[in-house]
Amino acid sequence: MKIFVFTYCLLFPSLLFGSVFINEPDSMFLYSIPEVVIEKSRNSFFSEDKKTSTPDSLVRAVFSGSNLGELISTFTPAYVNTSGSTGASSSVFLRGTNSYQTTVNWNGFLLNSVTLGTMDFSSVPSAAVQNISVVHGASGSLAGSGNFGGTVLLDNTANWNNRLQASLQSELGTYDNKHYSFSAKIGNPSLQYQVFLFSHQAENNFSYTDIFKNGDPVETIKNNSLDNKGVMQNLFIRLPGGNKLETGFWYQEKEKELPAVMGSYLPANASQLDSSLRVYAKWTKTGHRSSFALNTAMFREYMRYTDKNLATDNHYSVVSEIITGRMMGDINYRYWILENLSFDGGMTFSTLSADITSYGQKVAENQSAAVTAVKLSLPGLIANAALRKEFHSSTRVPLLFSLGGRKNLPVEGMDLKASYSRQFRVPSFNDKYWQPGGNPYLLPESGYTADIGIVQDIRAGDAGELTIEVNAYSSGINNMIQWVPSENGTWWRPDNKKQVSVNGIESSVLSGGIIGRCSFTLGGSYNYSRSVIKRSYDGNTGIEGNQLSYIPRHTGSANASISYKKAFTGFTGNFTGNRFTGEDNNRRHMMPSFFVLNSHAGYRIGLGEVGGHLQLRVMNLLNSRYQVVRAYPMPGRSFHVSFSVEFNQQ
Amino acid sequence: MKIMPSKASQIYLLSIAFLILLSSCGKEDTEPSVAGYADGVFINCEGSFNANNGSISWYNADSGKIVNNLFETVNGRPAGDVIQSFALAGDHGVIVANNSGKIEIVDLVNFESVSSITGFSYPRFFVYAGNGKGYLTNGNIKGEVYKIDLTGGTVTDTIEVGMGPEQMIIEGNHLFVANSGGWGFDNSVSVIDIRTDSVVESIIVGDVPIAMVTDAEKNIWVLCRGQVVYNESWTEIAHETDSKLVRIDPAAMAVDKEVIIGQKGDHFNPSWLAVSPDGLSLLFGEAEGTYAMGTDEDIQPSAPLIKDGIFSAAGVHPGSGKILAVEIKDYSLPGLLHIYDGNMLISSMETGIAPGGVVFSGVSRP
Repeated sequence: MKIFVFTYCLLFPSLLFGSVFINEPDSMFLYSIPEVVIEKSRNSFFSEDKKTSTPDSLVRAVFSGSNLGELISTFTPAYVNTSGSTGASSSVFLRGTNSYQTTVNWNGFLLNSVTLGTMDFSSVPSAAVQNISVVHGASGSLAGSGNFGGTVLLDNTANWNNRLQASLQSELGTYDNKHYSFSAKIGNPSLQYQVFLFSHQAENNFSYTDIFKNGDPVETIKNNSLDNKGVMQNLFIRLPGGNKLETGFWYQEKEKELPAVMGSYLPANASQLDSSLRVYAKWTKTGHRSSFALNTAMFREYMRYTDKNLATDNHYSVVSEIITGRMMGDINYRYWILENLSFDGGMTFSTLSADITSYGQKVAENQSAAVTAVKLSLPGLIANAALRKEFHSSTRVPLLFSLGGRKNLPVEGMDLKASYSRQFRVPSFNDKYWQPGGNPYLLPESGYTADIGIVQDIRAGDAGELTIEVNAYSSGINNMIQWVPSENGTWWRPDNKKQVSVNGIESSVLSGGIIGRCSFTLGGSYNYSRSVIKRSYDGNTGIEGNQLSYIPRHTGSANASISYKKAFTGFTGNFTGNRFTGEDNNRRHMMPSFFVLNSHAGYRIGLGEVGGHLQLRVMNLLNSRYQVVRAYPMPGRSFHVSFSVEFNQQ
Repeated sequence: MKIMPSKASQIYLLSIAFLILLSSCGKEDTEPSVAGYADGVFINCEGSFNANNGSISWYNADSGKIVNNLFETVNGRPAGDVIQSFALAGDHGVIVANNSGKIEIVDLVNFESVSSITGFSYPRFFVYAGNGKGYLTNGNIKGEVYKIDLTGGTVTDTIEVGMGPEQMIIEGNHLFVANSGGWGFDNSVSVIDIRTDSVVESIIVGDVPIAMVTDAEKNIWVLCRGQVVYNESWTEIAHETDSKLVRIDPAAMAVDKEVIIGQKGDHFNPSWLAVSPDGLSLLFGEAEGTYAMGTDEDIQPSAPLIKDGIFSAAGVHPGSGKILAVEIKDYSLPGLLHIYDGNMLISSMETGIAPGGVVFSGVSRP
């Protein structure tokens, strides 16, 4: 009963203003809010107080044949953890937190795995969506569970002026890499249809020095091929009366062979197939100063892991299948009470399900949340506050709130940003239901994220601009979940093991401009994170004060590009500092830092409405020998030649 | 005349003192005994799965110091992935790296790698038969014993045994192999005649035999852990059988005594077995503690000798009679070596990650 009373109280203003909206008389239109603002998703609308990173168009074009993990490593200081070459499982660690503490949303719908809570960034082709942004330290009260590190927003958008745009791209690379994609956007001011098809195959049969074997032999990695293909479609319809409909469909199949770790003499015959079907639909109704959005989505994921004793065996020694589903609903009403004061009220609903042998039973859970938020937008000041209450069928979640703002400082172009947010992360299905070991009574991870930063924009007219941003952040995470051996030592079980403190500084520089007939962009980012175990609940005081394993203290990225007429060239690079592989912080097992430099050069072709480019991309130009995950080798230098043909009719 | 040190020499002396202090702060002591590493206690540490950080720790009973990561310190690379066991082979040691599919042969004096033998699918334990020959158990379901020529670095024979073979003991001309069942089920000990390298007997002992020791009268004691089958959701035990200590008369190749130590319903499933230096007492470990039982006793001990700690392995030091027990803290953190005098804990020290076995070597003194 309390839940309903609470929800009603939280949503009451929404209902009240909703009734006003429905009967919005013309006499009320003393002012109008721009459509692009009115329609923004909650995550985007309230992120102005947060550091947000987006890749520039040239970086996106250069990495159009890459996956999302590879792209993110070029424009953020995120630590992208991958267990091998292209297509190997890849996760993103933001601001010194773990990968399962960062969420990924596709058009507002959560993509993170139901079973693990993480997202495999290698499975998302970077060219599939128009807008990619990383919100560092996103608010838990707006974005929901698991945002200690931040959130990655992937959005498809419609360009209503588009008539026909089509692009065919192929990229061939070392290690038998073949990447093909086709995209088309067709429409008119009332209807836009987009389709993106892709196929990526790679043998990934690179050579590496096996430093774990006697004599450091040079070996060729085996059983490492990738076959990833899929299709994404979006349909946008603009109807009279401020109504908009949007649907999306994304189907994908990724099959990846899994090589043996370095130092192993065992044959490697394991393989993993991941397929996913994701569909969503949205209805948005916008008025002059209000909007109402009704969104729903259904995601289904299938994973099959197989292994054989011998490659020649015609039967598998291991077959493991996982089927999961997520149904989501989201209602949001936004109303401008005053020209500079808006109110959001919304609810989200999710049903998660899993059919996994290791759970011993089919499992389903319902989750819902009530969200309310206000935003004040004065000249030189933006401030927001939000409240969220989550209701989970098996986990009690505390009331979440957040406060944030952005203020112009007396120095021209300089803003101060600050935010504070309570955070939480609901245990994943594996944490709760994996048998043996899973514990449905685990407490959610809970804590806070605080952030303060300064951003300075310097604009020099057409000559260029420079943006410098420095943020200091702090997070406290209680009840951090960790899998530990069970009392009898025969299996593992999750437990609320630790209290963790994360403090760090993040900075970025972005500049671009024109010098004579050359245009250039230059960017760099750096992150310092001190992610330490404050308290071990099991009394293991020896690890207190130590850095979390696999969380580097120092990460950075840089990119530079220059264009002259139709030619362009540049580089991207990323640096990852030392990482401990255990919480004892034993330096012997520490993973050394590495720097990977990539370069590219190309030429654009343009003949009226037809264009294209020819490009050479060199990955790991310096042929650095490194591992991101211990004992998983990374490829050396590789060359990728790409060619595209584009047709564009506005 | 009083000689006052100059400011420079004061700084110099302070720097030297500081450096000495720093050098004494090192976490790991790599000081070997006079006889190299041949005289000491070897502890095989599994490490984290797929991380290639398995290691060997070496404990010097004379100095009371432990050297961790011995193999990597000497050879500049880790010992392997999931160090399942360590065995003595004359002047050499054999490290069995389960998830690397290899065994690593080292010189016991300097611990330098002599050779690696590879190509095993699931290697478990090694036993030395003399003259540079030994046997290796392999397999998680279908089991085999490989005859290994350590000198030539080759597998010279393959002998099929029961499922999931684990520990072995050579008594006379016979090799006794405990078939644990691995990922399946077994309850037998295979007997191999090492003159012909063929299986001559299969002795039914008890469910899930995992460990063996030899007592004072050269009888073989087999720890049978008992079968434990969980329900589909792994929330409770659906089926369980007794755990036992079974004595085999090696000459007769037959069971001549058994003591039930855990009964159906009590969930008592020990995981390791050791014997006292005089061969008159057996030690076995379970989640409830470490139990001691005379080889002449017929009933299970009523209370554990050591209540605290869940150990993954233990042994009784041949020189001092002290119990050396190892404990896994976590599969990503260092484990602990505990030294007990009877049931009294004397000291504890860090080992490598996930210690799983204790092997005594050379002349061991208190």
